[in-house]
Amino acid sequence: MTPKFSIRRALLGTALYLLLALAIKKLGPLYLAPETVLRLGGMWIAVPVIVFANALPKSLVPLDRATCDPAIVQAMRRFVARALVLGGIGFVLAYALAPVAIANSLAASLLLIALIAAIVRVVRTVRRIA
Amino acid sequence: MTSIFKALADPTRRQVLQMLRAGPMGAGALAEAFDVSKPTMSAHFAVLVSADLIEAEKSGRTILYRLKMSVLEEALMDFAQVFGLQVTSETPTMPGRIRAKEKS
Repeated sequence: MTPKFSIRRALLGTALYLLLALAIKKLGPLYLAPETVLRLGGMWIAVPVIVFANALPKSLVPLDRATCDPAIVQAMRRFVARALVLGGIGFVLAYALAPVAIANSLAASLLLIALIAAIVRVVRTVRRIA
Repeated sequence: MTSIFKALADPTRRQVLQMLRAGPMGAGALAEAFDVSKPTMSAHFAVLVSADLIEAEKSGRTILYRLKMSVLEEALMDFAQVFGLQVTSETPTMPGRIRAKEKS
């Protein structure tokens, strides 16, 4: 099977992401309220987290290269991916719905909780394997 | 995306995906859980592989299947499971053993 992801595609995606972020920052204030620009900018930050976490369980290591029980690694990947996707969605929702004064702190806290949960699970899995 | 919906629309294939959540399984072990012929089961596997929901890997003489679902795809599957999405127009018949389990 041919790989779906190429460096060219990744660079193009990154350029597009940065371009849109720049557009929100530079063009946003011309057409939108400052609060909306802030919310859009915040929501845009979490997009790569959601996209990459969503695709995490799809990248598999060939079984002949596996150094431990593939079922354990699969369970860990699924948990980490779900935690980060939920954290990312929480981040987006916090920026979209919470009052601007607390949106940043709330969004960061939600993503941090997800990140900590993911790290804890990885550490526990590594300890279990070792 | 259409291939994913097509793959998730069949209860047998969803059952296969549920079983693979526990870890990689051989084609034989998976087929044993269903009262369907081997060619039918192979057809189900082929649909799942073409939708990129599972991956087949040869291990000696057996073929091992592994789950290859994104978070969104898993959420779609759970949604289909809960709301009983069943579009079985071009899919083989539902296995008796699973059907009996769902009735009880």
